[in-house]
Amino acid sequence: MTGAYLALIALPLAIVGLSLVVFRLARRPGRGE
Amino acid sequence: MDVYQKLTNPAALAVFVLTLFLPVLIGLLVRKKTRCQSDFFLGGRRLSRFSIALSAVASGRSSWLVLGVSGMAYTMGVSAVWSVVGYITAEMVQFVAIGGRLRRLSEKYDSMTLLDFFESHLDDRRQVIRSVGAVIMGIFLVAYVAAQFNAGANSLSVALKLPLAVSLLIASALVLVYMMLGGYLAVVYNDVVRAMIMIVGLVVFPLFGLVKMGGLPALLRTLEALSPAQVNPLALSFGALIGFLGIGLGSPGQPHVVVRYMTIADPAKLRYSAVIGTFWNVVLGWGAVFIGLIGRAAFPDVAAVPDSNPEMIYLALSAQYFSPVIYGLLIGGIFAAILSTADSQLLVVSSTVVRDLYEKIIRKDRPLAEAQKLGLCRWVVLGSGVVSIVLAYLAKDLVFWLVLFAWGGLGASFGTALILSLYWKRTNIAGVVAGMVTGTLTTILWKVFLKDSTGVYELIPAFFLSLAVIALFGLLGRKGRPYTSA
Repeated sequence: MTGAYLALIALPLAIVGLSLVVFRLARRPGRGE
Repeated sequence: MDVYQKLTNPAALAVFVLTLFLPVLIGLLVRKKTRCQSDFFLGGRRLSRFSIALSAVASGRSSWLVLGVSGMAYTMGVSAVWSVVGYITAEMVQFVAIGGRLRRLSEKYDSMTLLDFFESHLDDRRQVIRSVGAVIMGIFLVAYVAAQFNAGANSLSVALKLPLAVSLLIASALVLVYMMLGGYLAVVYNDVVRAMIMIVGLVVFPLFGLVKMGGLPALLRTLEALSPAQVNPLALSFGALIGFLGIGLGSPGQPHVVVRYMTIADPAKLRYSAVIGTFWNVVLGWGAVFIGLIGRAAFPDVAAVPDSNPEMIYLALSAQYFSPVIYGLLIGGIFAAILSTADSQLLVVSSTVVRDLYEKIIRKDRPLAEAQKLGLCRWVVLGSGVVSIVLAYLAKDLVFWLVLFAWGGLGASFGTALILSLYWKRTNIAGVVAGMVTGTLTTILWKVFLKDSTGVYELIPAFFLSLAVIALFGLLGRKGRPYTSA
C-alpha cells in the first residue's frame, strides 16, 4: 500500500518539483536559452 | 450496457454539440489575425507561455490518454502510472533544452517548418533532408490524422447512431472549417479551450469518483482485496517498465509538438511553459490513471464494461456517475483530446506540402506572392484533410498499421536528428538523412520481427540506432556547419 501512495501522490509531486528545478537551471546562460 | 444512451437526453446532446461547434467559433474569431503564411503556420510567433504550454501538451495527448491509459490502469492497477512518467519527463526537459534553441535559430533562419530548420542549419543546398523528411513525415502524419478522424467518427457514430461515413464527414468537417479560417492560431486557442473541457474529464471526474469511493485509502483497500498486484506499482516486468519509460524517447521527434516551441513570442519564457506544461501533463496523466482505478473498483468484472473492453471504462463510469449535462461535457472531452491532436498534425502535413515541397522545391525559382501562399495554405489544409478522410474510410487497416509505427517512427527519425543538430556541431547532412531512414526502418522491422520475441518496445532500439548512425557519420564525415547560439 505504501508503494501505491508513493506512485499516486509522491511521484506526481516529485515530477512537478523537478520541473521547478528545470525552471531554475534554465535561467543560466547556455542551458537551452 | 449502452454507454451513450444518456446522450439522447436533450441537455446532454446540446452540451456535447456545443463542444463540437465551439472550435468553429474560435476559428471565426481569429480569422482576421491570420494575414500571411507565417501567421497560418506559426501564428506570427507571438504566442504566450501559457498558450504554448497547454497547446504543446494537448497536441501530444490523443484518445490514447483518455481511453488507453484509463484502460491500462483498469487492467494493471497502480503500475500503469509508469506509462505517463516517460513522456512527461521528456516533454518537461525539451521545453527548455530543445525549445529555446530551436525558437531562436528558427527565427534567425526564417524557418517555418522543422525541415526548413534542418536545411538552413546544416546548409543542405541539395535539399536531401527536406525531400526524405517530407516523405517520412507525410506518410506517418497523414496516417495519424486519418486514425484520429476514424476514432472520432467511430465514437460519434455509436453515440449519435449515425452511419460511419456521415460521422466521419461531421468530425472532420468541423476541424477543417476552423483550420481553414484561422490556421495555427485557431488550433492553439482551441487547444487552450479544450484544456478547460479536459479539466472536467480528467480532474473533476476522478475527484468526484474518489469521493464516491470514500477517499483514496478506501479505494486502495477495495483494489487490494481484488488483487494485491492492483496496488503494487512495481507489478510489471522490467521490459514493460523500460518500454513505458521509453515512450518519452518519441517526444522530441513529434513535429506537431516541437513546432509549438518555434511560435512563442519570447523564448526566455519557455521555462515557464515547462512548469505549466508539466503540471498540466501530470494532472491529465494521473487523472486518467485514477479513472481506471476507480473504474476497476466500481466494475470489478470486465464483463460489466461495454464490449468487455477496459478502454471503455471512462465512458462506462461517466454514464454511471453524472447528470446528462456533465455527461455531455465528458463525452465532448474525448473529442477534445482526439481533435486537438488531429488538427495539429494536419497543420504540419499542410506545411510540409505547401512550404517544404511546393514552395521550396517545386517553385524554388518562382516565388509566390504572400496572398497566393495564404490561399494555398487554406486549400492544402482542405486537400490534406480530404485525403485523410478518404484513407480513414477506405483504407483503415492500412492506416492503423501505419499508426502502430507513427509515434516511434517519428520519434526515432526526427528526435535524434533534432537533438544532435542542436547540440553537436559535427552533425552533418548525410548523418541526418541516414539517421531518419535508420530510425524509420528499425521501428518497422523491429515491431514486425523482433518485438514479440524480445518484448522490447521498438522505439528504444530505433532511437539509439538512429542516434549511433548520425554520430558515426558525424565522426567519419565532413565537419558540419557549427551551430551558432542565436
